[in-house]
Formats: sequence, C-alpha cells, structure tokens
Amino acid sequence: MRAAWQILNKVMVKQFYLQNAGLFLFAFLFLFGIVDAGHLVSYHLSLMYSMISLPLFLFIVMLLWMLYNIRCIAFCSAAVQAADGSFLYRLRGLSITVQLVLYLVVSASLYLPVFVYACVLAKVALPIKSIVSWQVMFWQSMMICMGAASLFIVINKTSESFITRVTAAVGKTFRVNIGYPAFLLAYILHERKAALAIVKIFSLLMLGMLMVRNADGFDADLFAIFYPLTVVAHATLVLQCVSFNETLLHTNRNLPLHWLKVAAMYGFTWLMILLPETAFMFINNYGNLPLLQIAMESLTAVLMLFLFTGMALGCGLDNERYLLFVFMSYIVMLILQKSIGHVAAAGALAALSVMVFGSHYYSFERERVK
Amino acid sequence: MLTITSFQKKYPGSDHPVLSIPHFHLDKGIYWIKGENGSGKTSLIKSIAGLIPFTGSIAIDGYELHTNRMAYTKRVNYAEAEPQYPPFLTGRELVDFYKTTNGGELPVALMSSLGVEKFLHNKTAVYSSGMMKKLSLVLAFTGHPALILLDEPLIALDVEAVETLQQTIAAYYTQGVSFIITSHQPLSSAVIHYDDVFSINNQTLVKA
Repeated sequence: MRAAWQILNKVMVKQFYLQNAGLFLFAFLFLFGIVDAGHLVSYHLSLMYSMISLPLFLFIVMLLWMLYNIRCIAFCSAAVQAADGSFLYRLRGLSITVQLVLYLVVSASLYLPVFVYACVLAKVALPIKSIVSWQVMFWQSMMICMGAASLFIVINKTSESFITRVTAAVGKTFRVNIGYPAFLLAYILHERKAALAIVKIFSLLMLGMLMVRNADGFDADLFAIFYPLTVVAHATLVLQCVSFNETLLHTNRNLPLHWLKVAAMYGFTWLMILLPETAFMFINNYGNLPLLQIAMESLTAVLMLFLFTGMALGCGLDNERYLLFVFMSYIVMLILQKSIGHVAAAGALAALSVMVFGSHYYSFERERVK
Repeated sequence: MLTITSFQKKYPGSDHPVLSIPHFHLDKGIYWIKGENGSGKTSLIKSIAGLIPFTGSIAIDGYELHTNRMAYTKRVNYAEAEPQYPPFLTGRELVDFYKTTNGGELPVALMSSLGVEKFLHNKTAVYSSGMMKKLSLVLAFTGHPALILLDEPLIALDVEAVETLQQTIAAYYTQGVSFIITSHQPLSSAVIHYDDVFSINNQTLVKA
C-alpha cells in the first residue's frame, strides 16, 4: 500500500499541484493579495460572515468548490487514461478496501486547499449558524468521497458506460469538421473544460467587480491593475495548449507549415478564448471606458497570451520558469502602460511577442524531467 | 540525396552530445539503421524529420533544413514508432490536414490495403495501437516525399499489414523515393533490398 501511495502521490498529487501552480497562485493572490496585511483577517472574516448569512453566496462558493473537485477528478481520469499512465490499471489487483483507502487519501490530498478553508469557515459558522457548519462539512466529505469513487470507477471500469455510448452517438450525429485553425480551440473545449470554466469564472467575476459593482465609482487605475490579472489567469490554458501541440501534434513540425501559420493558429485561439471578456466589457461599460480603449485592451490581452505562448516554448514547458516569466511580463506590462501609454505598449508587446515566438518555435525542445 | 554535416545533438541542460556526425552522405536507396535501445536512433531520425533542434546541417536534394525549411519538409515524411493523435480528431480530419499541408495526393492503394478507410470517420480516441500505426503510415506516404523515415515500422502491425508495408516500400522505391528505417529486426529480404546498413556506435553513425 505504501508503494502504491508513493506512485499515486508522484503521478497524481504532485503533478496536479505542479500543473495547476498558476491557478493556485491566482487564487492565492485573489484571496490574500488584494487587501493589505493589516486587514487580511477582517477581510476573510467578513467574507465568511457573508457566506454564513447569505444562502446564495454560500451556494456560489459551494459551486466553485465543486468545480475545483471536477478539475481534480478530470486530472486523475486523464492521468489514468494517458498512455504513460496505463500502468495504473494494475491497481485493480489490490483489494477494494485498500483501493478505496488509497483513493480517499489521493482525493483528500488534491482537495486539501479547499478543505482547510472550509474547516475554518465551519469553525466560524458553528456558534452563529450551526446548520451552515454542518452543511459545509457534509459538502466537503461528499466532495472527497466523490473524488475517491471516481478514481475507483476509472481504474476498475471494464466496459464503456451507457453515458459514454450515448455521448459518442450524439457527438457523431452533430459533429462539425475540425480544421487546423480550430485544433487548439477544440482541444480546450474537449479536454480542458474544467480549467476553462474555472478561468472564466475567475475572470468574469473580477471584471464584474471592476465594471458592474463599482460602475458608479469606477476607478481606471484599479482597472488597469486588475484587468491584466484576468488575462494572466489564462496563462494556465496557454501552457496546456502548447504542451498539447508539442505532444500530440508535434509531428506537424515535419510538415511544410510556416511558423507564422502556427502563430496564426495560436492567435486565433486566444482571440476566441478572450471573446467573453471582450463582450462583457462592451456590454457592461456604462460609459466608463471609451470603446476604443476596450478594443485596445482586448487586443493587448490577445498579444499577452501570444507572448506567453512564446515563453512556454522558450522555457521548454518548464512550469516554474514559465510562471516566473508570466509574472514578470505582467509587471513590465503595467509599467509600460503607465509610462508610454496603452497604444505604444500594445505596439511594443506585438513586436516582442512575435519575436519571442519566432525565435523559439524551431528551437523548442521539452525540458527533460529532472 | 541526404547530406549531414557537423551534426551534433545535445539534450537540454546537457553539455555532452548524444550524437555526433562530422559528415555523412546517402544516395537514393533503402537504408536500415540498427542499434541498441537508447543509442540515439530515434533522436537521429527525429532530427532528420525536423522535429527536434540540433547543431550542424542536414540537407535533402540540396535543400537545407535550417535555411529552407519549407522546401526541406516537403521532401521528407516521418512515421513515429508509437504514434499518438489528438483523441477528439477523426482520422479523416488528420488525413485532410496532411493532404492540404503537404500539397500532394493520398496513398489510396496503401489506405485500401491497410483497411484504413474503414475507421477514418472515427475519433482517434477509439483507435487501437495498430490502427494508430496504420494511420501514421498513411500520413507518412502522403504527398510527394523524396525520403520517408520509418521509426520502428513493424511495431503493432499484424502480419498482413507488414506484408503490405513492405510491398509499398518496394513500389515507392521504384518511383524514386528513399527510405531510412530504424528497427531492431530487418524487413523481409525477399521483398526489400537494403542498400546499406548502419548502426550507432560511440555516439556516431557507422557502417554495420
């Protein structure tokens, strides 16, 4: 059991935290970075009191926890079903009890960040509204058990489920032919649904706070700082797309496909992915931002994701270096926009992103696992 | 046909080359590269295919990879040892993409004798490793390549498919296409005549 746990820990738990480091960083920034240290405790307490007193708010939070759990489950299923994870099917050989204990530990380890926060919430809620406290703890246990049960089903399944067969039949009937420009978009929509949903919820909530909740007292400086953060949240999707393109589509490098065509595919993907944010800004503007500036912000966002693409290639898909570059780009972009203006900054970003992509595309080689 | 000059392949973060070939030239023909596991066969073949970076130069019919990549990649096709494709794409979508990009024709005869047409409409998620391999061979024979690189072509193929592949290689060879094949076992000498056999010893390519 110890050996099996060590393997699961390496293949699932560690990999999950490594691959989602960007997401955790943003969650951390969102929860602990937007208020100064002196008000941190009171900020979180007021957040928790809101969850305790407003059922709708608690429901939204629980929904977010569930989305996080779906992400954990999707990650584990993908790890088992991947070609290099097929050896995990050997876990079927263990007794059902041992398997369930193992998967419970894996599920709890993946769910730990949410679980810790929820425990604090339950502790705060207990003297005020104990029913909320019990609800939260019940929900948490459900989530962890759901993760374990899903892992058990994925590893022990022997035949296609009814749902899988129905989905395949429906998919075949309504299938749209996918061409090269849409390969990455199709990848995100098929294989990275949970990541996309989490990023979009974060990004639209942030925009909602900036543009709708504070519509009357709109602060352009605050917008200039926080809007790029919603773009940076997409960095995790960029890394996943580059990784996909360099794994399952890496033989494309053997085709007479100019790097500008590859760049255009990435550009098209980022444009489509950022459409909800662009539409949101146009719809919920309330005259606070000139329309031309919204268009410029959207273009800058696409260019930033394109720069991240080049950086992901440049650092050989090494998570840590990539995150560092993304963070640095965010800071540099803020300074540039403040010092030389939005249009000049967008121009500089366009030139830099094309240069970074062009110089790294053909020299790319995945970092070997250390 | 193929000229390799001052070739060195190093892995990221390493100072020592895993492969070093000062000069190497091949005329039109069918060649077999053999070697132990981890000797660098796949790294060499991937470098020739343009999949991984290296220092030095590789040229096909005078077109050098680094300086004339479009013309070079039009002339060389590659089939992986253990191919994998995006699970949400169908074989048809991949074939169409390769056909459009390579600007050539599909190997219709090979497709029909390997039985690839039967499963082209399915997503690759449901393909077996044999079906993946057959699809990768079809993609490697698409267009008008001067050189086809086959990395471990026998893996996952059934007896009939191996026979079809050998006959196809022989037929394409008569039409002027060259082949570099890396594998542990040779293809049937009754159908395929190797012009030369090489192996990788001490990080370099030598005649076996």
